Amino acid sequence: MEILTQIFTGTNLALLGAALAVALPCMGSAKGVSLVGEASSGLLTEDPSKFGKALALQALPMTQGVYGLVAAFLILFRIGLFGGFVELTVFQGTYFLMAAIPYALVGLFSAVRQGRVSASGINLIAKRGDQLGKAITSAALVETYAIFALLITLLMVFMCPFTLGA
Amino acid sequence: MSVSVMKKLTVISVAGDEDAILKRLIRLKCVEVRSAQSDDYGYMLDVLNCDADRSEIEKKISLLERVIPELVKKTARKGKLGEKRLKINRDEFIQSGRYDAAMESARSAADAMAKIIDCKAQIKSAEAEQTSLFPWINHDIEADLSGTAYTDITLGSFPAGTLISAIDESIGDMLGSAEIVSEDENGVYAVIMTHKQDTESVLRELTLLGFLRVVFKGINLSPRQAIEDIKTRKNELENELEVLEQTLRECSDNLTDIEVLWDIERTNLVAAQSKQKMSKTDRCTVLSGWVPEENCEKVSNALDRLCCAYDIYDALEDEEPPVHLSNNGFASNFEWVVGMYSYPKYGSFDPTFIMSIFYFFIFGLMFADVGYGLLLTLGGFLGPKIMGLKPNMKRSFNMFGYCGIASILMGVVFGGWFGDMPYAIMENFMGMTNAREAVPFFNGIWFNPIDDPMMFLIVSLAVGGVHLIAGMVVKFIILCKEGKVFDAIFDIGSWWVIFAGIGVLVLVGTMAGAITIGVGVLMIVLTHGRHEKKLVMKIGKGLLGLYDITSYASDLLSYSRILALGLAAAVIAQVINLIGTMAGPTVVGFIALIIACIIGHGLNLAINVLGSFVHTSRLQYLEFFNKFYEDGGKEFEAMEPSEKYTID
Repeated sequence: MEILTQIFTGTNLALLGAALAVALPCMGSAKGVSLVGEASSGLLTEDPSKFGKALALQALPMTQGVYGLVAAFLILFRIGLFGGFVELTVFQGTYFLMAAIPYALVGLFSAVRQGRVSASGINLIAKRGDQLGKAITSAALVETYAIFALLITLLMVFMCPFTLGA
Repeated sequence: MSVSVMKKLTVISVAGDEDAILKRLIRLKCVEVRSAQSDDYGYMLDVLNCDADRSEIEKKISLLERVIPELVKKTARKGKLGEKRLKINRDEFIQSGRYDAAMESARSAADAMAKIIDCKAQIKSAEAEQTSLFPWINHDIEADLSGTAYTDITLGSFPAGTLISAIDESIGDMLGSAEIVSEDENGVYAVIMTHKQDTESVLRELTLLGFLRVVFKGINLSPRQAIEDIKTRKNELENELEVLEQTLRECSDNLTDIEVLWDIERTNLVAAQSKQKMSKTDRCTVLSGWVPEENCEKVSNALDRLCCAYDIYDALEDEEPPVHLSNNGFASNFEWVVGMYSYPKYGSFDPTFIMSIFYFFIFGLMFADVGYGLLLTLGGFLGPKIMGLKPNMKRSFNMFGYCGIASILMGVVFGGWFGDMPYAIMENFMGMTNAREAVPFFNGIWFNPIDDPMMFLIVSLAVGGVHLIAGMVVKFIILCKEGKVFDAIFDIGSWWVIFAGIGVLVLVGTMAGAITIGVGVLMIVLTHGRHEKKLVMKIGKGLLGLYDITSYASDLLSYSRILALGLAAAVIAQVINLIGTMAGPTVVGFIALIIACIIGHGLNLAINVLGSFVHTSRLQYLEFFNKFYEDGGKEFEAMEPSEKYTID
């Protein structure tokens, strides 16, 4: 038990939140981007001139990872890792862990799903190169939910109702 | 501000004159040729067949498409960024013989390219042959001599390191002898001479040592002579290659003319494609097409000077003319955003102008930053000038230019200057401790979303509310214009009553608000089922009408993305500034700042321009357009001359 209370300190719980907020969505983005990459290689063997368009689609699932970085940085900022550090209570640490959860989960899921829609968008531009806009738009709709989850995570971190420390 | 009224154009001319007419119309850039339908003239006309012409033109174009990239590599002409396309009179170009000269040049370039490929292949095979002959250079008889009357001569190689003694041992008592010609790291090269009766058994034995036979067919010279021979042949080929490259370089002097040629042939293809839609009688050709009303005068002026009969008249009721949007200088840059969704139905409301205003503001809110906005504005307005883009591309760039202006304005209001760059520099480089208090200007003249995200959420939703209501107003006006005033009042007006009630309740908190909401709800319950026959259905449908509140609520909440995207952009920028200024006011720190800014802010700009563009568009398409938009129009595609390299 002693060791558990040492591991699950307030600060560590908040750090776990930040870690999840960046790690899971980044995993999702890696998966999503690679899905589109695989699909676009197929297109590029036929028509290398569409590289620019394929790249635009491939870049779409990257945003979840970037937002994960934002969420994690904010938590780290807030708990004073970049200056003004105070040891958090377990309650406070748990608060930040909870705050990280919406974005950590949705970011992971939506990045993979967005990757799949973008990959099918590659099929679309393979046949009709002028329809890139539509392919991007339908893929971007998936991102909506990551943005909503990010919004809640950010609001929870920004609006935390207590002063840090005991 | 609207969808242009389309007029129908029919031109009848004597067969043979249609080329001149098409050429003239292409230059006007405002006529779309359509396939004549049978009922236009009361009976079916034959289709004007010009497949042969078309395939001839396509052949020329494919030749030019192969030649031009190759010549661009060879040319001594310097391609300067931002070079203006030349203005060239194409008729003069053809008459003065430059057309034929350029065609000749392109053909000989294509010819030279084919020969170069052939030449290079021959050189390659000569090199391969030389490599294979090289180990036998000391073998002094003809390479393909396979023996005499009683003996066989076999050439071949053993694995590297094989000793002559081992070979001799293998041959043993049989009638034969071996001689090593040369040795290298790949193997031992040997000549085996055998009596014919023992050849087979000797070779069988030697195979066990790893002997691989080599045959030089058709080389009746000694290897040394053969190699000399190949060298001369290769030299000749290389000289030939040099001559061919020289030809290409000479052709590349004509590159400018060849590019004009490409434009001319592309324009001819447009004409041929249009021609295929025309019809004919025994002696006449008939062209049928669409002209926007505002261009009719231009077209009739042009046609008056040509030998033809024409008429410009209104479209029939049941016809669907193509859609051409005409907007002012600001809004026309946003037409392509509407086009990306779908063109409005012919005769319906063109949402471009009202959308462009909201687009401007929402983009600005999502990406409120003076620094990024400035870059976007510069790129959006100067980019097309520098790259010499065509009007279509120029418009999409300009749209981002305008969005950049919106970012600058909102950046001043909400305090974005590459994130918090001014404060980061003041605090970490200039040693100020209370920069934010000392110079509050950079933190936004209203408030900074990072300090007060809830306030910015309210702003976002308020903008969303205005956007949605604007969409409903448009629908209201459309319905009124169609004479469905009651529909407008019951289906849209009732909601406004409810919204007004909610507004009063939230802001003032009086009973008046609740009563107003009640009135609105009652209006919907009582009127939403008015088209139903049975009373039960009327009430049911009326109650169901209230369910729309969920769609309005979710539409409104969708605007919270403005906050999320805005915060994300600002926080990433802050992180970059933090990393950039970490090293403090030293030389290294300064260099680190510059590198962090270029890479970090560049990346942030790219991500957020894409994000803001996509999500602002989405708010227009899904939240705004679904209130009123009638889509499904077909884009008006006027015949235009190709102007990739030169302007006609």
